Amino acid sequence: MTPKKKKTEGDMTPMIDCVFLLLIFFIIAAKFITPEGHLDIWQPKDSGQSNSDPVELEELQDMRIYVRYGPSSDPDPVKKEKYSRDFELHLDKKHFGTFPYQLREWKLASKNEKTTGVNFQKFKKVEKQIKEAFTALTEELQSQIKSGVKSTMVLNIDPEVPYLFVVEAMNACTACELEDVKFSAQKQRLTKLHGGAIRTDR
Amino acid sequence: MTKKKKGQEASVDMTPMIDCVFLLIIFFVVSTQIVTDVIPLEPPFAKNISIDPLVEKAIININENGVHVGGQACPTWEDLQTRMESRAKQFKIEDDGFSEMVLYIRGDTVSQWKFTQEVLAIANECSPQIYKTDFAAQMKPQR
Repeated sequence: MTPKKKKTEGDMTPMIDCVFLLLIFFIIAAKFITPEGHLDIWQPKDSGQSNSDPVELEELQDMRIYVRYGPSSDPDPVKKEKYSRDFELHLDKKHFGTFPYQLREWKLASKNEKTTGVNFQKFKKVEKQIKEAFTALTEELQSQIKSGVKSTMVLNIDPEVPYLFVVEAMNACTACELEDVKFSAQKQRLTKLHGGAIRTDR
Repeated sequence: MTKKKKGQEASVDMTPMIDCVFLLIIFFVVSTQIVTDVIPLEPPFAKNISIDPLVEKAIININENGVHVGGQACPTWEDLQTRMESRAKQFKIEDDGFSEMVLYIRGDTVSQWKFTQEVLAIANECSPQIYKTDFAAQMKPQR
C-alpha cells in the first residue's frame, strides 16, 4: 500500500523579500539621463600634407567667432581703466551678435543654483540670444547656398570661445548640408604651457 | 456580530503582485547601463545631431575640472596621448594605418574651444592616428 501523498508548499516570503530589496535598489539607483547624439567631425587623413589642389580664397565662406576687446562701459572710474571683452559672431563681413564674455562665469556659478538663481537666469538669457543669432545666421547661409555661391566653410574660432558656440556653428553647417567644413589652424599648442599639465580651469 | 468560523484562514493571493514585481525588476535589469567613462557635465543642445549608440567609442570628457578618459582625469597632455594611443590599439587598424576608433568628445557647454582643439591635435599625432571624432550634443528638448 502506498502512503498518502503530502502536499508540499514552499515558503515564498524570503524570496519576495529579496525581490523587493532588488526592486528598491534599482529604483533608487536608476538615473534617467537626456539622450545624447553627436556631430561628426572626422579629420582628413591627409592632414599635414600640402594640398595639390588649393581652393581659391573667394570660394571660402568665413564664419568668425572671436573675442573683441574694447573700452569698458563701467561707470566706476577704477574699473573704467580696464578693457571689456565680448564674444562676436560674424559670417563673412556680416555681424550676427555680441555676447557677454562673462557667460562662462555665470554658468559655472549657477551649477549649485536653482533655476531662479541670478547667474542661472543670466546664462539662460545669453544662451537664448546665441541660439537666435545662429538661427539668423543659418537662414542667411541657406539663402546664400540657394543662390549658388560658396560651398566651403572655414570656422575661425578664438581659443577662448566656449564649446557651445562651436556646436552651434557645426549645427548651422549641418542644417545647410555643408560637407566641406574646415577649422582654422590652432594658434598655440597647449602642450607647451604649464609644463604640459592640463589646466582647464583657466 | 459575525464570528470567524474555526479552522478557516484568510489568505491573499500574492501571485499577481509577484508577477508585477518581477516584470519591474526585469525592466530595470535590462534597461540599466553601467557607465564608467562618462562624468557628469552638460554638453550643449543641438538640433541636427545623429544617434548611433551601438558604435563603440572612446569617450573624452572636458570640463572645468580637467580632461577625463575612462572616468579618470589626465594630469598632463602627454598622459592623455598615451591613454588615447593604448585605447586606439584595441581597435581594428585600417589598411592605411589609421585606427578605426571613434573619439567621442564630450565638452561642457562653457569649456573653452582651445582644449577641444588640443585633443583633436593630439588625436592627429597619435600612433595609430585617430581621425574619426565626434562632438557630443544633447538632443533638443521638445516643447
